[in-house]
Order: sequence, then C-alpha cells, then structure tokens
Amino acid sequence: MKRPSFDLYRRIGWQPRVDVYRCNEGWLVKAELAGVTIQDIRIEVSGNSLIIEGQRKDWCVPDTTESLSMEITYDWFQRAIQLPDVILAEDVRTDYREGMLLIYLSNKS
Amino acid sequence: MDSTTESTDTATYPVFPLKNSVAFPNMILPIAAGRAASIASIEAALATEDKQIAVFTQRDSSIDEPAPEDLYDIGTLCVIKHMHRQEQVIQIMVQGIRRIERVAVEQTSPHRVFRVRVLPELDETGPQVEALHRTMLDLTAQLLSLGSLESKINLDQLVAELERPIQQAYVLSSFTSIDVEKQIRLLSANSQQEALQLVVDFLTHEIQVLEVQKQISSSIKSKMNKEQHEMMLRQQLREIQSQLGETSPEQAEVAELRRRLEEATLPDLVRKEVEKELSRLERMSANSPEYQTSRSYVDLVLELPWQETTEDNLDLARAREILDEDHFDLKEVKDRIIEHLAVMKLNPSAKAPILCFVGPPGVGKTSLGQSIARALGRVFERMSLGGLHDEAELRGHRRTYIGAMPGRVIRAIRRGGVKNPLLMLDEIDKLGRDYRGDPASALMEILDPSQNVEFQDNYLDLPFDLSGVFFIATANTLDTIPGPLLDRIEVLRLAGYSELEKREIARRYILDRRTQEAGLKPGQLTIGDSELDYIIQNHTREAGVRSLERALGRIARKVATRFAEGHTEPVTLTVEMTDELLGPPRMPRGERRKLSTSGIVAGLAWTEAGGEVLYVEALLLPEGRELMLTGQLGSVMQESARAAQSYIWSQAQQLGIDKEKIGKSGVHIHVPAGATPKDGPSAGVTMATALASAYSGLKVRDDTAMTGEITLSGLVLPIGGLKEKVLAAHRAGFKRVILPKANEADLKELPEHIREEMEFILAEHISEVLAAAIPELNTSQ
Repeated sequence: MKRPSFDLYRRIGWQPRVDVYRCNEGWLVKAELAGVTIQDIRIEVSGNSLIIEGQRKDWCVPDTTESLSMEITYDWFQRAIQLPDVILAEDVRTDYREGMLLIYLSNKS
Repeated sequence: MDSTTESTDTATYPVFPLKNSVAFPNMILPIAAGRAASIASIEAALATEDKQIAVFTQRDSSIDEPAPEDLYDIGTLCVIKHMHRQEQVIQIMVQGIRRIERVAVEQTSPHRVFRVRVLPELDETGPQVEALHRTMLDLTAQLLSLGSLESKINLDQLVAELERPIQQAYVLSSFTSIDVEKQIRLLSANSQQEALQLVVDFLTHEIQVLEVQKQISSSIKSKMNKEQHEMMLRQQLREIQSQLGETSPEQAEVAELRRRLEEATLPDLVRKEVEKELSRLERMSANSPEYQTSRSYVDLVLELPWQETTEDNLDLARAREILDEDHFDLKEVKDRIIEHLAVMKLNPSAKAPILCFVGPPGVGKTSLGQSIARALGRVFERMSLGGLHDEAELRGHRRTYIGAMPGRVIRAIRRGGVKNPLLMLDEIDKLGRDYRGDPASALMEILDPSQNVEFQDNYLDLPFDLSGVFFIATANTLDTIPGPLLDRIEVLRLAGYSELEKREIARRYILDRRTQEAGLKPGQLTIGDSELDYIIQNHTREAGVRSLERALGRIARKVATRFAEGHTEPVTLTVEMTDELLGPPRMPRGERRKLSTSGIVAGLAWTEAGGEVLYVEALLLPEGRELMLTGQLGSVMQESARAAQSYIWSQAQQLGIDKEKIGKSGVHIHVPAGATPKDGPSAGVTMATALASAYSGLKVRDDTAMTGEITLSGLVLPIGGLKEKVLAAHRAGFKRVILPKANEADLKELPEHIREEMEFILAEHISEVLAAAIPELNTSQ
C-alpha cells in the first residue's frame, strides 16, 4: 500500500542507543538499528554534531498471520550526537553489520 | 519524507473508534481494544510495515458499534508503538502523528477503513500567538500552584521538551480535567492562535473552579483543625489528671451514674437503653450541649420507679374510719372507695379505677383525694391541668429539643418515687387547646387502662406502666370535658352542702384548725350553733365551705389579736360581735325577697358554683309591642320564654286573663343580675308563672321557688342539678319548691333535714304550678 510520507522530523518516535569510541583517526559511533533497512537510514553531519534518522518498517509482515505481541517500535527515529571535535563531513564511512550501524568519523587534525 | 507538500494528499487507513478520550499529535496514549471491529482494525494496521492507524473519537461513548457518522470528523493519525494481546483484549500504545480529516468511508466491515486527508501542521507565529502562549504558561503556573493538576507535571520540562506552543496546548489539555467535547474542539482548531485561545479559556475556568474549591475546603479544614486541637488538649488534660490521680468531675459523675445503674433494678429494655446512653456519655465532652441533656436523661431513667410500689392498705374498717375522719357525709363517694378496696382485696391484679369528682368549688374534692390516698396508704401526687394547653406538657418534649423535659405525668411519678401513686388531676374541665396540640387527647391515652400499660413519654422514649396509678380527676362542670375523655372516667358528684351540713363541717373540721392556726388555745374562743348559722347565712353564700372557712379564720385571728393585746377572758362569740369582726352582713344575690308587686317569681338556677335563686321579672307595657327579653339570656332561654308566652296567650280564657289586655299591651321579661349571662330551658316554668302573674295582676307567693322546663302544651319537663337548686332555695329561705314530677327520684339525694323542712310540689303540668304559686288565679275554668 503506497502512502504519503510526512514531514516527521519534528516527532521522534524512538531513539536508537549508541556507543561512541575514540579511535586513531577520529570517532566510531555504533548505533543499535536492528531491523532497519539500510535505505531507510539517513546520516547528516554538520559541525561537531551527527544526526542519525530514519524509519524502521516491519518487513516480516507478509509472512505473518496474526500478531500476538509487539514491543519493537516501527516508527520514525532520530538520534543526534554531539562530539567534542568538528567532524569532516567528506570523510564518513558506514558499515552495517549484524543489526549495528557503524559510523566512522574523522576529525580535522 | 523530507517535504511538507504532500500534506494535502489523501490516503486510506484502518480506523480505531476511541471512547472518552482524544488522541493528540505527538502524545502517547494507551488503549485497550475489545470490540471485534476495533481489533480487526488494529490487526490490519499491524499488518502494514509502518503500523499506522487513524484514531477518531466517538461522539457518544455509549454506542458499541458506531457508524462513521457517530465519530467526529477530525481525528489523529497514530502509530502503534507497542501491542500486547491478552485473551480477547488487545492493549496497544499509540503515538499521535498528525491531525487528519475524514474524506470518505472506504470500508466498514470487517473493520472500518477511511480515506483521510492529513491536515497541515499548525505552526504559524505572530505577536498574538506569542501573547496567548505566554498567558497559557502563566495560567499553567497558577494551576500548578493551586496544586491540583492531575499529575504533577514539571512546567520547565514541559516548555523545554515541547518547544512548539501547540504541543504544549495538547499536553495541557490532556492533563487538566477538560471534557472530551472541549478536547475535540481543541483538536479541530485550525490555527495555533485558535487552539491557544481555547486552552487559555479552559485553564481560566479551571482556575476559577479550583479557587472556589480551595476556599471551601480550607474553611472546612480550619474548622476541623480547631476542633482537633481542642480534642487534643482535652486528651492531654485527662492524661495529666490520671497521672496525678485526679478524676475530672464529669468522669466522676458518669462513674456515679454507672454505679447507680448497677444497683438499680430495671427492666431489660430500660437497662439496655441506659447502658447505651451512658457509653455515649462517657465518650462525650462535658462542654458539649448534649452532655447535659444526656446526663439528665440518664438521671431521670435511673430515678424513675420502674419497679417500686407501695403496699395497699386493704383494711376496710380503717379506711372508712380515715375517710369519715376527714370528710363529712359524701356517702356515695366513700362507698365507692370502700368498694374498690374490697375488689382489690379479692383480686389484687384489678386495675385501679379512674374517678372524677365533679362539684362546685370548696366542697372538698382535692382534700377528698388526699384522704383517699391516706386511707389506701398510697403516695399522693397532684397536678393541676387548669389552663394547660400544650400537649407536650403532659407527654414531654422530644429530647432533640434544647431544654426538653419529661411530661408532668412522668415528673409526678418521679417525685412520688413509686409506680402506683394516687395521682390527682385537678381542674380537668379547664384544659385548653390550641395549635400546639390538644392535651385532652393525650389524657385519653393516659387514662385508658388498656393503653396506659405502655405509656410513651416523648422525652423518656421508653414505655412506662401507668396501670398501677390511681387517677382521680376533679372538675367543676362536665360540660367542657370532651366526650371521649368523659367516657373513660367514672363521675362522682359532690353537689355542695346544706346549711346544717356546713355547720357540722365547721364544728368538726374547720373551727379547731382555724383557732389553732391563729394560735388560740382550746377554750379561748367559743362559737355557738346559732352564731355559726348566722355566719353561714349572712356572711357566706356558696355551695362549698371555702368562704366560711375564711370567715372563721378571720374571726379567730381577730380574737387572737385581742388576746395578744392583753385580753385574758375566754371569748364567746355573739351575733353583734360577728358583725363587728366581719363587717356588716353581706346581702348576697338570691336572698328571698318580700314580693310586693305582681309579675315577679323566684326561679332556681344551676351554676358551676352551685345552685342559685334567680328572680324573673315580667312587666306589662302600655303599648303593644313584641316580647322583650333582657338580662343576657341565651338563645335556649329566649326560646323558652317565647314558649311560655305562647302558652299563656293560648290559655288566656281558662286563666281568666283579659284577652284585650294581651292584644294591646306589650310585655318585657328581665332576669337580674343583668351582667351575668344565663342560658338553659329550666326557667320555662318560672317565666310562664311570671307572665301569668303580670297579666292577671295577682301576686305570686313569696315563699315559693320553682324550676322546670315548659312545653307549648304546658307539660313540665325534668331539669338537671336538682340538689344544688333545692339547697340554694333552702339557703335563701324558701319553704316551698315547685319541681317537675320526673325529678322526684332526685329528692332522695337531699339531706334528710332539708326534706323535712321543705315542702315539695311535684308538677306534671303548668296548671299545677300556677295553682300552687298563685292561689288566687282561677285555673279551674
């Protein structure tokens, strides 16, 4: 069913949990984004802040007949992270592995 | 996803009808769904990848299967965040996304699907929005300070987390107790300004209500606090007293009452009631107004003689001796008392009689009651009912009233201290009655032997057995006693005394008492029979002996004065001395007159004070006029006069009266004394005689008095109060009395010496009366 998508950015349905590590080149941000299709994730970097947003959609739907319980939120999510240094927007690498989104950020120096 | 231009597009969503609440954008709402269509809608929503559902509030929450038009047109698109199924109920948690408006109904079964249009976000700004926003925040702060938001929300947090005014408005509306209809109006608002205005209005109203509520509760609170404070202090006082080994006066009082309760022998019902009242009393503060009421109630109940009785003295000979000692004659009454004693002797459970002594003042009704009590060995209690017009006086006030008291009956019993006293109800004929009730009706219960076993006093509120009480009522007349009451009592008449009896009473009872009271020694004052008679005849005129007693008292005092002044010789009263001491003899009304003219006849009347002689005067007038009647005559007496006149006219020829005289002249009848109202038929015979005498010009015998009712055919009918009338005639010095023949039996009541002294003419017809009264009148024709 095709539905219009709304301007949802102002409403935060859920927030993924994140780990932030310092590494040699800069920072590693690990976000818990299980079940989210990689196309539905958007990353935005500006100054020293990183914003991860997107929507988790339930892709198991066609195989199910009746839902008995639902605890996972299928909704718009957004997470903004402030880092101590200014981030270089050109140098962002991502990796999606076993439900975790890994974002490598390098700082100026 | 990153654009706002699609907001006018439409899309279809499963619909969830919501009862009693409204889902606002951005707000999380837990919902329980049980209806099949709702569950189907949720399942349909869960089957999509974005889990979205359109939530519309029902207009009427009592409808179970709402049609599309039963839902408000504006709703909220929500996302289901959590779901849990429990048997037939699905618990979901939804979060509002955007306001939506129904465009079309796509499907109604198995679940509803609407095509909806997503409404634009409300985010316009401007000074007005800003102003309203600030007002709203101020009001919220006020509301928080009144301390009554349903859950304590942190205003700072609210402002910080929801930067947009509209979101704050939505949150506030769900935290305050705004009804669903107003929430829908807020949801339907199409601009921030409109929405904020609505919330400001709601909040203002809410604050007003809360302030009033606070006022009310604070005034209650301050009152409560004061009382609690007093109670606490009192508690402390008691504690201190008990540590010091002192007991408070009220505690001692209650303890005393409890001790008395344990000692008293009470019926179970009464004991229970007293226990209850006492335990209430113990918990009460001595300063509360109820304490006194309650205490005196317990006091009364404990003091009442529930079981105490006196043993009746059933020695008949002794009783007769006592009665004779105290009162002269009154044979009928004494016999009745002796009879009752005899019955009690044979059947101890017999109910006490209820007697009523009727007679003129001063004949000894009250003192007879006292001597009956003495003869029986009962406690004597007396209450006067004269002028009593409040039923509560007899039956008591309910304890709810301040100053409530038990009725007089219960008080008399309490005074007497036994449950079987002789209770004298004086002046029962002078009971009043008004809007406060009819005491005569209350008396009926008291005097009815079948009801007074369980007499209910309003104050006592417990049944008290009055069946042992010997009631004696007194009255001057029976006319004013209500029939039903009269029916319950046994009437005994005390008619008054003849002169001989009075002399005897004075000799036996009054004289000694009066001389002793005056401080005279026996023998210092001697009064002979003829002097006594002189006093009785010339200084008193009454049925009883009250003014005789006064006159003798006066003589005794004056004689005592002489002794006190140094006189030593014993005094023997003479007639001259009597007049000197008492003043010139009074010429009371009703004295026998020497009749010098025709048309004057002595009649006999009955009054509450005994019998009286009344002269009837008839006079012919030179011109023909109607019969004139004066002297305050009642209608019965006036009719009786007309009947007498008609009879005389019709019999003019037989009586030898000139018919022309009747036709030409008028006639006037007057009955002195003119100021005293008179009524009754018993002067009929007298007036007929007066008319006959006036028309014929012949004088009536002046030693003859008469009484009797007359009919048009000339028959003489019987009258009442014969004994009193004859006594009055005797007192006034008449030797002959004309009476109706039907009253012959009543003559037996008269004392023997009167019957011997007087001549009685018993008449059946007026002609016999006229023949006896006017000897010269030719009645034979």
